[in-house]
Amino acid sequence: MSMQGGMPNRASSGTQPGAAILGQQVTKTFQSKAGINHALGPTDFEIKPGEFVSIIGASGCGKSTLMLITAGLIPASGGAVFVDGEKLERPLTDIGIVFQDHLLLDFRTAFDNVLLQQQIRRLDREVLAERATNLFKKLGLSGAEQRYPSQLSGGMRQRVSIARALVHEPSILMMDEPFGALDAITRTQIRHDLELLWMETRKTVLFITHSIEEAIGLSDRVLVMSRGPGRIIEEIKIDLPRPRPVHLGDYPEFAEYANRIYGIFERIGVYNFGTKTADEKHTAAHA
Amino acid sequence: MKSPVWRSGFPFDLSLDSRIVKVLLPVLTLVASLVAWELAEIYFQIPSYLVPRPSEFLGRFYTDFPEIWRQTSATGIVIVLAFLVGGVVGIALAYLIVTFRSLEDGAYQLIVFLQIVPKTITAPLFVTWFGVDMTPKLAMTAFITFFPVLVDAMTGFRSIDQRLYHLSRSMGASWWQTFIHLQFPAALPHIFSGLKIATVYAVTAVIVVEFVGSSDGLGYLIVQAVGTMDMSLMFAAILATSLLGLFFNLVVTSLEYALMPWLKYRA
Repeated sequence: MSMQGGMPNRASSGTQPGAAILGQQVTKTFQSKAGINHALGPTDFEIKPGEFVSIIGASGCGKSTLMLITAGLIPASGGAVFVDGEKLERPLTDIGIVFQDHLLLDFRTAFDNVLLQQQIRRLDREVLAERATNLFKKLGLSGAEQRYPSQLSGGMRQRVSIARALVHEPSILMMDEPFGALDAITRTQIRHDLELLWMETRKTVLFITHSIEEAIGLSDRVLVMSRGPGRIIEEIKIDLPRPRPVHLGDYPEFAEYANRIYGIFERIGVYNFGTKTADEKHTAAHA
Repeated sequence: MKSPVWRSGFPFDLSLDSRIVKVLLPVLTLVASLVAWELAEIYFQIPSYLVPRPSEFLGRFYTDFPEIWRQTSATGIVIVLAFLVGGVVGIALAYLIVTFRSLEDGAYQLIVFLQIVPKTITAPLFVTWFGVDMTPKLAMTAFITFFPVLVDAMTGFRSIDQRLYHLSRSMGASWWQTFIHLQFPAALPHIFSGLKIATVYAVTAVIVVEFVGSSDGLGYLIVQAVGTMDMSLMFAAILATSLLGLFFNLVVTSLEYALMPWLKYRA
């Protein structure tokens, strides 16, 4: 499944492979009036260079927290994250992040929002502007360059924020429910576009979602997360050819993968379809 | 609102929505009021040393324009400088208060208390401290301008989505880059609403200090005019003061749209 053989050569220019991410016994606890809240872990995970990995789980299971820890943006309470073998101690900067909300700056045009990366990182303006133009083309944003976010549709805004996360060619892309706020039709299209874009560049992607369809439609591997505290409890390798069809139903394998995830969700009590015995439910509730 | 009866015969669009009428209507109202004022004074024989006629003080505004202009500039310069000082201090302090929690708990309460003190009554104090030149005017006006800017800038800095800071940190932004690319422009619309409120306060503040003790400015001119019972000059000076306030409001509003073109597209 992994596209690169051996160690990634980060120094080489051109097609820079993604970084390797390793999480060991990562935990996160929050202190509140009610006492200590164990939000996360301890949990282990690994993402290989150039791999597209989704974390799927019910809302509130700590998957966004896990992403922020992995990005070095909030500290873990215990355990460690290693990026290309190096222990993470400050925010990762070789990274692009997309959140559920576009988080575009309303005082910058779409194009200038993307070029914020160039300004803050002090990169070459011409090179970055050319890349941005290319990204706009690939993301179907041509013509929207000089528009302000308030003049764009929700789908277009999210596309701009994807362009912003990619324009500096980071080796890691993290997305926290990036299509969660979009309508179903837009979501299908943007998912497909993202897959094509990723196939060209093969960044390491950590994709947080609660959509089974998105997880299977995009990932090399899906990590399923439990709730309270959040732990990665299952790993499912998705062995489907790319690019994956928009109609995932065309693959009988898709239904199989989906059923496996539904099964896990039911087992841990995310879903209750009434197919379990009362005894099993009891066990799940106290797992 | 369109009146086909009017439109059929006239070469211009004279409906209530048309541009000409929108400009013409307030001008006509103003002229009508002034004419009514003038006629009322003639009819009731009100002496000019109590209430001057519009023809008198408008004439005075014209004949004494060099002097009025000189005093208006003296007052205007104070307002410009006070805006700069009050604006910069207000924005800087708002940034510090929002950034450091301890400052909010400590300093902000004190500032709120200072704001509750009616500041115009402290004008004699400022004059005692700083003399009768520009300094007390500037100090007082900056002090008054500063507060609305502070409050609105704080609102502006607070309105920023916390995840934007995640984003800026992932770009490796320094605090200055975060401020100049993210926080300041995001707070700018709020800062401008503070500045707009400040224009009204500022004009009052300068005039009051000039009343108390000053050797120039429109407030000084008004006090001088009252001293010699020169009511038409006083009214001309009041007119100049109002025009000055209007001018600053216009400047701030134009600056707002020049600096923030994206506001046009906001829903």
